[in-house]
Amino acid sequence: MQHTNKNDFLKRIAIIALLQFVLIFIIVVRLYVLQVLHSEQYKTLSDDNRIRVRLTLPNRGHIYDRNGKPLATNTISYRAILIPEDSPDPKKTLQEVSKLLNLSPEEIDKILKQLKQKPRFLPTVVKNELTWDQVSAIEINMLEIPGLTVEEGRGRNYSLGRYTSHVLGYISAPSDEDVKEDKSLMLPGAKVGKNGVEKFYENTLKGKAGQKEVEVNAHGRIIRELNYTPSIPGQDLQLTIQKELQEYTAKLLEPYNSVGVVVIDIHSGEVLSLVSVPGYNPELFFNGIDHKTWNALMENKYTPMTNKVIAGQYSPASTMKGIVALAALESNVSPQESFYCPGFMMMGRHKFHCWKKGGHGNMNMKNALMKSCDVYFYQIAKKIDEGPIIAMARKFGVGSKTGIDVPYEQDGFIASPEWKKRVRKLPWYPGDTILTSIGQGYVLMTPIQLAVMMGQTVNGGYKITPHVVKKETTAEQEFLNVSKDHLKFIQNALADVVNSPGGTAYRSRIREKKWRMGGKTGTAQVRRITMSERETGVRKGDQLPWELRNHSLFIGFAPIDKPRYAIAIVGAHEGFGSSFAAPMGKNILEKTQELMEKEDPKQPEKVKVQDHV
Amino acid sequence: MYSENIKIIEKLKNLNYFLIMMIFGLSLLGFSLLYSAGGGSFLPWAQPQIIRFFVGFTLMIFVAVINIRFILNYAYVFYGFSFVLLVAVEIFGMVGMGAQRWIDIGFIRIQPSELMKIGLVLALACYYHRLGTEEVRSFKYLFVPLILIFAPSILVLKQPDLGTTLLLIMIGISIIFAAGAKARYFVIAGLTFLGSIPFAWNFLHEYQKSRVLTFLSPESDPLGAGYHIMQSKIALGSGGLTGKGFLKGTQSHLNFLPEKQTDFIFTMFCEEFGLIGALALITVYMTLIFYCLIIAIRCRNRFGQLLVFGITMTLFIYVFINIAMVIGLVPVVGVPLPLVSYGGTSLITLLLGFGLLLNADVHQEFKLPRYD
Repeated sequence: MQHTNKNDFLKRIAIIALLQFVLIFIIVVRLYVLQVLHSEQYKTLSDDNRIRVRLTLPNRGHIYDRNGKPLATNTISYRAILIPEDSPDPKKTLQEVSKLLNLSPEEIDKILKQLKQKPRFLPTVVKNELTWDQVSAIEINMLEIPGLTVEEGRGRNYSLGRYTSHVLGYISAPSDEDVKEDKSLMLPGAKVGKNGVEKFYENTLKGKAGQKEVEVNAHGRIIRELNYTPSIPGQDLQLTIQKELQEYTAKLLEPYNSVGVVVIDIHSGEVLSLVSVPGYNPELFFNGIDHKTWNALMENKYTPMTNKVIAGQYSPASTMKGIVALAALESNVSPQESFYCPGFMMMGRHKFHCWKKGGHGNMNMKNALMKSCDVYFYQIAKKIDEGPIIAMARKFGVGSKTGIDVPYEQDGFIASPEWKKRVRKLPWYPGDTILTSIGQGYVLMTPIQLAVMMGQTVNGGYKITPHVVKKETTAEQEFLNVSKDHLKFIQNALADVVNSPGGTAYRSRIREKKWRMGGKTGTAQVRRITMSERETGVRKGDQLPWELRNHSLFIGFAPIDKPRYAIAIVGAHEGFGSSFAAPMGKNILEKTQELMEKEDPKQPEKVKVQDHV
Repeated sequence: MYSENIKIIEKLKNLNYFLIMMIFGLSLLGFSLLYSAGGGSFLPWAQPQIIRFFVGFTLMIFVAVINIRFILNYAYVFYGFSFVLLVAVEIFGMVGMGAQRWIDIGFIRIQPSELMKIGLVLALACYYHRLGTEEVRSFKYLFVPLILIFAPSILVLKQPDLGTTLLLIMIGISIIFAAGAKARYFVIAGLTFLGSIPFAWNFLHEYQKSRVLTFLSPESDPLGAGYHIMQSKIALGSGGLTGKGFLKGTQSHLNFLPEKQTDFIFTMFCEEFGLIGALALITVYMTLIFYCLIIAIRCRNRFGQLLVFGITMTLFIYVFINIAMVIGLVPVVGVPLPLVSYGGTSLITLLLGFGLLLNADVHQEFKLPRYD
């Protein structure tokens, strides 16, 4: 019986064997497809799996003053970072960490939120600027806080702090748009220049991120390094700023509310000092500023975040009279021609006042500049009309950017009849010309424009493009095409404003002969003085609220015989030009010359920057 | 020709040493792969596996030389014992130990479901040994084998262990087929099975459903359930024709490949040795399997035939399902690669099975009565 079904058994085994053979054949075909036909594709996937490109941050370039003294340098700080994939329970880790680092529950929530937005192998900063005690506390408790490590980070030190805030600007964490442009900014600790030189020269300063190809395991942990391209540190920058002068100027003006001052070399356009008051602490932004501090900065009525030198726009007031006089000379008005100033001038039914109630009497051009007689310039305006005045102002830079290498510069403004018709839908009145002639009405200038205007008047009529970063070559200067004799006349008259008794800035003259300066004061009305006020005499600045007081302006140059430096200073709501701006200008120009005389044009010492891996 | 009382020494002399060498060779390959999986170290996997192998090997030789009549007589007992253990595990599970699949007996943990694979083969071989040719073809004699198959299968399914359940059913059905049941029953059963899939779907656990779904489309969830199979395919594909070299599989050694020492050991092997290695290994397995089928045919008694066939079929199903699942042909059901994958119970069960196979081979000329 066992033999009878032997054949049947054989047959059935054969069927099974055939089936097995078919199944195995399917497997072999599948293996062939995977391992031979699609092998390349899977090899790429396998490498993608194990090879990660890690970027290493480059060191940012340092910034030095004109003599190689450091203004912005890199520092080393320590920060606690959390790598989510190394932590089985990031929340628990953070709670443990908060005992060591005093994290608030809000901070923990913020970090947890950040963790969710990043890939698990990318670290998130838990706390910056660790003290040595905190660093050692973390090292000791390593086991209780898995995923947390201390990382060396870089800080930025500004040797003059708030005194250079508006020149240097600041760096802080990149915005989403920044990251879109440069992926290496996704790295923790990456910073981007947000203002000042740090922003303007971002591409020079930032350097190039290094690349580290590492082999990682499935958990993202680095097993070994495969390839390493070191980062290229950013280039150092040498500024034209004179550090001591910058510090002196900033300290001098620190007690005041809102001031912009700039000192330039009128031949090279180098900016020796640029101060906007109030300043701000640039290190506030480094690790991200908190809302409260930010709001306080933004709501501060003295606008610390605005660089008043390039973005503060003020009526130039009497500081523009030199240019008006120049326009008159170029329109063939004789400097000897006199006009009588009774303290006002009638224009139709309107009465235009001179700043001096009793009037100046007979005024020629030189005296009118010296004493800043308004009526003289009203007469000039009446005589030559608005055209030459506006043209000359534009020629000297009013209404267009100077092109300084600091971001967010404003244009300033000067109106023309065409503008008024087009924008205001009003005709140009003779009164408009009169107001323009004394730098009021539809004229606005930034302090840097004032300084450039001043400089161009006394450097022989060459266009100045101010800059804060040292340039090796100076381009050929554009000649503004005005008579050198006329410029010389204005220069002498402005020298008399300061150095002749009766000049509006005589009290602010520099006594040292070789340093003597010339210049022009200005007092910009912030609002129209009413008839009743004029009569009752309630005009004294200190009796008005700060916002309504006059702006105090001064533009100056030195030395008078061979001009080299120009200054512009605007003290917002500080009153008369002769009482605030002129004496401040005197101090600064005096200091400028004192320091520049001593200056030894040596090259900046290059600090070797070690690149951290 | 052979007397019932041939000496143990004689039996040892007549053991199928070709088969033993193949078993030994495959196990040796397993040890070296476990050595590689351990990152070039005998710990944590290669060393315990070697120890277990020698325990299992001794057991195999012992089983190979005992009297086949004894095995026939105790076939149902073994089945019953395995069944009781399965029930016990089920009760422990009810008490609150969760999905517990094994029983701890000191030096080793035994999965009753593993023992049941041997038990089922023994019981079915014994059952058909005692049936006449006509009875085998008769419909009513299908009931007992089906109960023998499905009673433990349902218990295993409840553990839940879908892989072993399917394995038990496939082994059982193939033995019924080999024993000579009418071919048309298999056609009807196959159609019924296909028809019942939609109903069976509802009885599956969530994780089982997700395994099947991710099998159908692993790319849909590359970081979740599809991760295993994606990484396995990457490892296989990147191995190419010749592989990355022993101990050099990046996917496996960098832990992208999960379970590389157990279910996915074939993947690691293919990553390191390429398609050539894979074909060589498959050839060895198929040689072993076909050789065992020849042994089955050579057996003069029905019990031996079906016993050898059942164990060979178990071996084949293991090999096929394991390879098919790591290359993405079938869902990942947790079936080890026989003799190579790390794992105590499956290795010892397998060696026990080979012991029975060797036993049947030694007793191939042995005339066994239907009943003692």
